[in-house]
Amino acid sequence: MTLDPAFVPDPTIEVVTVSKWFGQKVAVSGLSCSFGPGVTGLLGPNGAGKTTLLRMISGLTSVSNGKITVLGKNPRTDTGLFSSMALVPDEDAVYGDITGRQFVRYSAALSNVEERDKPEEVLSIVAMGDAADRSIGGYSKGMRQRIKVAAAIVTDPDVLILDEPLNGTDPIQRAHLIALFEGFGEEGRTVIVSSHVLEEVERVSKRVIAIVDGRLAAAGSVEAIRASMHDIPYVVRISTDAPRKLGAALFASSAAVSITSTNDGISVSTKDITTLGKDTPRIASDIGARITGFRPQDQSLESVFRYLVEGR
Amino acid sequence: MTTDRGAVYDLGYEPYHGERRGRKGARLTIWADGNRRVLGLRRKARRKVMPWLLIAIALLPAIVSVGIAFIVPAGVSNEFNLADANASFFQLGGTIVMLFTALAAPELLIPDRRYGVLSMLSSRPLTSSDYLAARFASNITVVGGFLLIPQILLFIGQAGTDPDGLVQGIINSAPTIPRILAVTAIYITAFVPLGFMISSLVQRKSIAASVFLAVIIGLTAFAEAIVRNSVLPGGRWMALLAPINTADAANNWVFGSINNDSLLAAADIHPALGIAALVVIGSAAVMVSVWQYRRLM
Repeated sequence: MTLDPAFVPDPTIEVVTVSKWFGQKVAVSGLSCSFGPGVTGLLGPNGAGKTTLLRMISGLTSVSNGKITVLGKNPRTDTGLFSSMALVPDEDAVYGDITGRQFVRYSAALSNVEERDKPEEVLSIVAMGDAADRSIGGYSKGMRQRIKVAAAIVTDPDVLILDEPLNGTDPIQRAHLIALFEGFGEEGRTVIVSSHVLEEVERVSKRVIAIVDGRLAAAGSVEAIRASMHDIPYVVRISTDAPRKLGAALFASSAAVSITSTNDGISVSTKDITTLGKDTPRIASDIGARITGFRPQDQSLESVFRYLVEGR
Repeated sequence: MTTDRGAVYDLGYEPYHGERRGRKGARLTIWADGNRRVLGLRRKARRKVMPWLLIAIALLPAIVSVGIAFIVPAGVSNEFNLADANASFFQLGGTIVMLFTALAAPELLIPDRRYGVLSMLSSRPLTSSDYLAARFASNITVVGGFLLIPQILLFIGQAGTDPDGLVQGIINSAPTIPRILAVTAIYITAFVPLGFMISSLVQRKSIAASVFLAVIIGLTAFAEAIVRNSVLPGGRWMALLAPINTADAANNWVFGSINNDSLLAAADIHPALGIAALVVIGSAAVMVSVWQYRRLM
């Protein structure tokens, strides 16, 4: 029997037909999935219900219907569970008037981590050691994100929930944090990383749960989900010195569905962006055209996942 | 050659193998953080100014009185007699403690909401009741300390200036200890729950402090006007709504002195009933705070 990609064989977090509504607004609707050891990306456009789902998993918000268990316990009622669990919320949940070091120490004390060196260790891991004695109020967005991550991992959690943890971080910080999350996953911890940026999720996790409008839109490996998106037409803007020649040549290839030409380039609509990406340089070389740009115009996750949902 | 994506780097993270204390430890952390926050400890210098200024104002009369009592020989002047000074020191401290509560209660509750830290606190091993109880305990600790420290100085002065010597002085002054604790509890009941409730509902520290002072002073003025002028039938019971007057009257009663000018005396209400009213009002205020935080956390 094949397991539905939305579920894992040994789940630590189980979400069973969970719904959540706020008055007339339905934030999450009949969602079922599970999470296990390793990193899982929670993907969806802004307003998809990711934060609501993570807040329910963290016990911060009650479910309107359905059931959530974390390590076999109800996160809403079993306070002891939070000794093994940590959350990095999306909002700026840091005091502005204390230093980063004080905040991480406070966080460690709240989870009863008594080892004195632990806060120093995690500050160093998130590369905040040098700024640790500065007031958090003066931190950049990326530094705040890292101090929040440090405050979460200082508790040595078995379950780590990160809501948009990479927002505001620069590429180096991002790579650093991604490596950290991967390391946690490799150690057998359950790590959920939410994001609305496809590239980020792809880098962080091999398994993805995608939700749109509060419903499960896709689940499984990133490759499998990508494969299921082949029907979505992408529009790619190609800048070239010979738009008409290149347009005509590309139209002959099977990758292009339609082509619009302008003075400095062409817009190609394609259902197979990978093939188009491979074919374009070769074709351009064959006809002697020079390519100065190749930019997908409509790769926003929102449009991709809206298509997935509406296409059903 | 192809390689697997996403190499895992050893960044030096080590699992924690130490002991964990559960909810008790988390409550203790919130309590200790509250004490530090109110007193401005481990904060910038400007955050220390107000609390320590108020503490200095509360302590100064006790230091001066006790100092003079040690210098001026016993029996030279009754003005420096410390034996009956407890009630008057509480009365002075009570007024300042009102200001201190206006400072402390908002500082304990509002930053956690303003900075959005409640979500972080909620994902730790503690319930909303644990959080509130720990913050309330901080408030009681700092306000109680604020009231008790001048009294401790006074006690030392009373024992130290006792003509029978220090040891006998301690024995002679010991009966005041339960009274001191009782009056401390009365002033705490009069101010802390109300300050706590207002701080749980208002979003800015300065506004919460202003509302608290306005409520306390407004209630007192309202009760004074109603009771003293007998404008309403049964209006004398409004005297129970004036926390400052009630606490002061109860203070005098506990220390055995009668103040016939007090609002409770004017309303012909026994101070014990005043204490009961403070407990009822204080309990209601705590219930409102609990209800509010059940919604928030």
